[in-house]
Amino acid sequence: MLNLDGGIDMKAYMGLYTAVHNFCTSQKAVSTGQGLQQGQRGGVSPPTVGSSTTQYGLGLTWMQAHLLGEELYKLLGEYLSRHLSDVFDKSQTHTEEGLLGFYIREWERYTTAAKYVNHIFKYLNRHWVKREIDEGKKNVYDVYTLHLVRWKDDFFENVHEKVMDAVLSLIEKQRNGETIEQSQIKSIVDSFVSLGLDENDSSKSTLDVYRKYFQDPFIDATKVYYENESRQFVAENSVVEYMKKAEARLDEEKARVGLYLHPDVTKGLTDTCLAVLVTAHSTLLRDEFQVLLDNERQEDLARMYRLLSRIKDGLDPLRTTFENHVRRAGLAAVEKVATDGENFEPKLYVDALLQVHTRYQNLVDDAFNGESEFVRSLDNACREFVNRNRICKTSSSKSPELLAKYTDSLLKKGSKSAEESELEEMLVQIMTVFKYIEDKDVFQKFYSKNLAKRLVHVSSVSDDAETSMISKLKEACGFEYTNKLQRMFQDMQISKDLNNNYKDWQDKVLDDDDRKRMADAHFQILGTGFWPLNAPTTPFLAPPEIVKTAERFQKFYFDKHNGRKLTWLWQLCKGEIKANYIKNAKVPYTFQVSTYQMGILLLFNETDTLTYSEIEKATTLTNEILDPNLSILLKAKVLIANPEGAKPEPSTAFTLNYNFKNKKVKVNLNIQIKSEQKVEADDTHKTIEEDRKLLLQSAIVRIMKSRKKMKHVQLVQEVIQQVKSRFPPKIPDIKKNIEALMEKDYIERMDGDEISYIA
Amino acid sequence: MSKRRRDRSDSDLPPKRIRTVDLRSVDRLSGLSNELLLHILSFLSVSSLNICQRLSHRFHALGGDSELWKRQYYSQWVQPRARRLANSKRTTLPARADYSPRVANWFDHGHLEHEGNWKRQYRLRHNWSRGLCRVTEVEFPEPPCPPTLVRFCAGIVFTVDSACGLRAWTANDPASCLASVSLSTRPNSPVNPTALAVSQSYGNIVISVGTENGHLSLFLLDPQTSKLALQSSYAACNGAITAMAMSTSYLLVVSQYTNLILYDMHHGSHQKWQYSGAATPRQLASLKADNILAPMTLSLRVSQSDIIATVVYSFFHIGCGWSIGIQELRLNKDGQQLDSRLATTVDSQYGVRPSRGSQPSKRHSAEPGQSQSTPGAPFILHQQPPTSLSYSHPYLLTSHADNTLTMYLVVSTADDLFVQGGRRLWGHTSSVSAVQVTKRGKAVSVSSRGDEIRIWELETAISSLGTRKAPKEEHGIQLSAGSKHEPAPALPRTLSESLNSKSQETSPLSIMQDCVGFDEERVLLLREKGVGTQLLECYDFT
Amino acid sequence: MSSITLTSSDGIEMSVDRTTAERSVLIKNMLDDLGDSGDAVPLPNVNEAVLKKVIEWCEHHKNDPPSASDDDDNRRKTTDIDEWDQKFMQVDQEMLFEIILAANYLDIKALLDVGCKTVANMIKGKSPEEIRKTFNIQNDFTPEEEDQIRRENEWAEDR
Repeated sequence: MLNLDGGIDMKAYMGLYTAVHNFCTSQKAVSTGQGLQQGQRGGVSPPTVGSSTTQYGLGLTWMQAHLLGEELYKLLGEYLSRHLSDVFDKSQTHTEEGLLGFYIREWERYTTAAKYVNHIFKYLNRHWVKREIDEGKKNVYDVYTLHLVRWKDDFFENVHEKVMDAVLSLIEKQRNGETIEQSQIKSIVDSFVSLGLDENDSSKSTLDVYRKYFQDPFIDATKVYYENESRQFVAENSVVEYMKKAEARLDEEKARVGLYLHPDVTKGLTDTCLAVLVTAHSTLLRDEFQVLLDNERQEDLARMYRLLSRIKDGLDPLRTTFENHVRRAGLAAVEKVATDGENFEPKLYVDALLQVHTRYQNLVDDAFNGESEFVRSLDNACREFVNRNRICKTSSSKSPELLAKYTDSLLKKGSKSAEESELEEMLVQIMTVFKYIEDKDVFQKFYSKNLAKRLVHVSSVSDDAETSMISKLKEACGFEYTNKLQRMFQDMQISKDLNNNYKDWQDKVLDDDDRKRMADAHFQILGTGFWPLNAPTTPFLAPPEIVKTAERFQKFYFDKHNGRKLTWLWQLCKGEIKANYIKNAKVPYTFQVSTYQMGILLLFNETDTLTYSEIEKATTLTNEILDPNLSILLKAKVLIANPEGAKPEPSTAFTLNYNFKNKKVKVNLNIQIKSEQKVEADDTHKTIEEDRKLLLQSAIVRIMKSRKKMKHVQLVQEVIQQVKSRFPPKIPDIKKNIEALMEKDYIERMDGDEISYIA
Repeated sequence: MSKRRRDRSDSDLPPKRIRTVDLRSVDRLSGLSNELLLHILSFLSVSSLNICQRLSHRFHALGGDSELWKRQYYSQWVQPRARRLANSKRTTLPARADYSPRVANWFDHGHLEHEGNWKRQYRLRHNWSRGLCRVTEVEFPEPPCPPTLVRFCAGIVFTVDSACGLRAWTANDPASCLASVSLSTRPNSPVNPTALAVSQSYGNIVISVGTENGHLSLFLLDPQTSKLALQSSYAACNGAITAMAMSTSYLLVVSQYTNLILYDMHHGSHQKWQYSGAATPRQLASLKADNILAPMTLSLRVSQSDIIATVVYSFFHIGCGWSIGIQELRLNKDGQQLDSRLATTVDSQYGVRPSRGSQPSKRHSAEPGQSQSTPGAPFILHQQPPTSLSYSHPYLLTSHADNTLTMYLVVSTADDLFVQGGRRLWGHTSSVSAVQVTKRGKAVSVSSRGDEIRIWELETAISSLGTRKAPKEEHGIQLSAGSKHEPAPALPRTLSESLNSKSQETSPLSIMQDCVGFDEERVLLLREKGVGTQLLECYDFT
Repeated sequence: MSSITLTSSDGIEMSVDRTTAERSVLIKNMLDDLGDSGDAVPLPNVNEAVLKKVIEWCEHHKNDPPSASDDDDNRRKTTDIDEWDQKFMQVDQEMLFEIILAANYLDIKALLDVGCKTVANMIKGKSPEEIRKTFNIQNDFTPEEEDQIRRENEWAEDR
């Protein structure tokens, strides 16, 4: 009836199909009507008894129309079972690879036949089988599926263990480096996959059979194999070698899936391999990490990262090690700089910090794939060694101060950096360090001081570089942080316009006479609130020429802006005076002087010799200012002390040196005085403390104003949150400031540690 | 094989041609095989199918084929709903609504998975939708003095009254009494039953009867043997038992003196459901309620971990008249109270949808000022208390003397209890006196005269609650819903159109009380006709 | 385009395009399974007249897109038949049923549907007696049975 050996001709094929069709459509006239009154119909009785039951009489008869085919279906199933038991008998004579070959041969023959038979029995599928399935009958399948079910139940169940044993020994051979016929395994896999049927919907397939009979034993075997291999390998080789081996094995198993396994195995296989090859040896690997770091074995570090990143929590211990390592490296670099004592270039310090950062940033990028957690470890380490190192031991604000100084040196005219792009790059590097600085307010203070000086003295390397730096800071810390810096910049622009206006005004208002008596002057109007500048510490009686010029300008300015107040910052002013008195000069010398020096020198227009007290009286300068300035003039030999070589003191007299000589025509006498620098830095530190107090208090008031009532602890937390972008506040400081505000009646203490705002 | 051989040798064509000589009178249609005839029949409508069944025995069988009717059932009842669900934004169901022979894939029709007779199922559904049914009546010979209490469960009607005690009737044939048992042990001391609850458990039916003097009696009916027996009886509380609710193993009782008691009927025995004589229900919890007004109704839901007992009562609210309050008690299996929550219909009567359900619950003691804070007048305002309440989670229905019903949807989640919707159901032409709802959303309401019964499919109405825009207009459609056009949101059909109905007398003295019950196939109604005559009516939709 | 030869039950050979012939799932499967050997395909269940008719239909529909899902509900909802098919089906009853049988045998789903719809349309809207007359169906009910069945099916009458 069924020719499973293949090789069927068209006539037989059509004959069989027709036979099935005719079987199913025959006897139709007699197989009906049993729903109404069974057996009453004349003619031949139905071949099979329909599944009809009678309930509640005629009207509610439960009817299922009967289709033919069950008998055929049953016979087919029985035939297949017989065939398969023959196949099983034959299979007994085969083992190992022979069995695989036999299984595959029989499977292919069987499934080819199944495809034919399925088509030949198409009519049965279309009607009888479909209906059985529609009615929800279990265990009825289309003819092809029936073949698979029979194969599984009647053959597969009996041989799968032996088949798998053969498969696994083949795979083991391949793992041992032998060449095997992979296509055999692939065929077995395909066969196992085909046998998975969804119990609830036979039109769908599942991987259940494959998983249970292939995947599970395969994974178990894999586990055992690699457990043994890795144990042995580790005992005989170095960790570095083991990592190479493990990586190669992982790649190999991944490739194996693509070669002849079902993709479904990927996860299970990878997990197993990782567990056996990596997790089981993770402690060993991690112990090697510090060694690799010390020797900067980037390639091996990358390999270790790749391996450990694939297991759960594999990298966490590495991160801690890495963080400590970077911090130590940073501290060591600073230590080196500090060996030369206090006097080192800020550049040296910043470069040392940057160098460590760059080295490990590269390591993170190249070996650790730029992974964010490692980046964070790097950041943590950098923040540590930037803010807490040997140099910062005395004061944590040393780092920002040095960084600000270094920045100033870059932005000031006369620095060596030539190219603008180079400068820009250095600014970027500065920002890298800046990012780690905790006392950002300190940097701000020093930076704005330096900026003010650069602007007032017009000594900036370029406006572009200045704006670039400010915008970088703004990006890092927000508008508020750079607000004053920007206003300073604006003031310079406004002053420029103002001077132009002033010139126009002068042209209109002044006659030639006036003009002759005026000094040619340039004015800068600086907003008090934005500039970190103070009024002069000394009274000063400016020379009449200057006073006149200043008064003229004031008149112009007050006309324009009624009600404003101008304070002259004499200590920042400078000018040039021409020395027409020196005889042996072809071109008269020009002295670049500070206003104070100008005041002193202009006194000598009236007389050649003046005593100290005369000068003191005329200029009203304090000794602290007068003495160093006189010293400079003496040193430059513009004035000659009397008695000769005397220090500027009340008993000294000063005479104009008519025989002044210098190589340059322009002589700069306006030199900053050393002691001033030191005082300035100390002052800056002092103002920082004061500013921090204000910042804390304003934060407290702001918070309390919006919350009205708050627990003390909460308030402290909130304050820290608000100010930490500027500096890390100390809790006692916050408490002190809360107390201070209570005294000022901004806030008051309530019951139960609560604080409330007083409106 | 040999048979087929013969066929082929006879002719190349199927053998039926040989049967007749006169080609013109050959019945070629009947000559086709079953599968082909079924295929042809699958293109026909329901009415054509029924006509085909009248052709011959063979067509009778094929036209009644269950698979054919399954398909018809799907396209008539399942598919439209599936489409509607797919269209409404609330669901993420696949838009696919193609026929699948696997009932498990249908929307919410899993309970029909093992249905074998789909024609019967189709017809049942058809009849419900049109209100077509047969009516049978049983007249109670002896007029019971306090009105008889009736419950309907698993095809069996239970009645209880002081004179005749507890009686069971089959719904198919209400004329014959299945079993009866007297309530009182002593013949001369009549016991007045005041509450009745019935529940199915392990193939048996448990009946609980509460009496005027606070006694509680549990009976057990074995449907196989029709044996009705008293299992236990004891005094539960002082006052009369006014309401009861029962689930498979718990019993909730409320007494006249507002005691609320929960019993575990099942404790100790994990084997087959059995009452040994000693097994008295264990009292799990007893709570004292502050004030309960009639009418009220109880509900009991048992989940894996806890028991939810719900008391639904009506109260007068100054702003919007008679309203419904819902108190939900959550208890653990040992009767420990875990939680108690309260919700009212006040907000939904104003058309307010509670934002996060945390609206303060307004009790009837609410001050006038409080209600003024809600702007406008409530769009549902009842000046009289509801005539009856029925709550089967999540549906809450009240019936009113003003010819309407009001439907609410109770939302009970882990962190919230509130009432959604609130909408009037129109259709009755006289005062509505009783209503019953099932958790599947099918409801039956009866007018006070008992001559008008309406059937409601609430599920569709609820789904429109979520997206409601102009509720009043929708109600307007319902008002004219005497029409039979599909698909109106809720389809009331008067039974006076019913197939076999006799002309129904109206007796103005009828009092309806606790008297209506229904299952998938039938509606049971107990009504009083004239003075002292009670009728049990069975409306059969099969 | 290759063509194949079909042999009818009465031994007549007909040559048709392979695409046309493959409207029949039976022929398509067979050609897929066995390959086109060039031999004539024997169709022992279809005679020449019917086969001709069927081939005519297949020719006309050879470029139809393959039908959608197996249980296309829309297909079943409507008994509308397109115009060409309607004309095609204007044959005597004998031929109509032969076409249905052949379509069923050859597994041509669309043709089977057209045939069955045509029959369904002949049933629609008729009384039982009219249907019996149309198809010569013998009434094998007793009058009592007939009356009972009429009553029990009244519920679904179109109203």
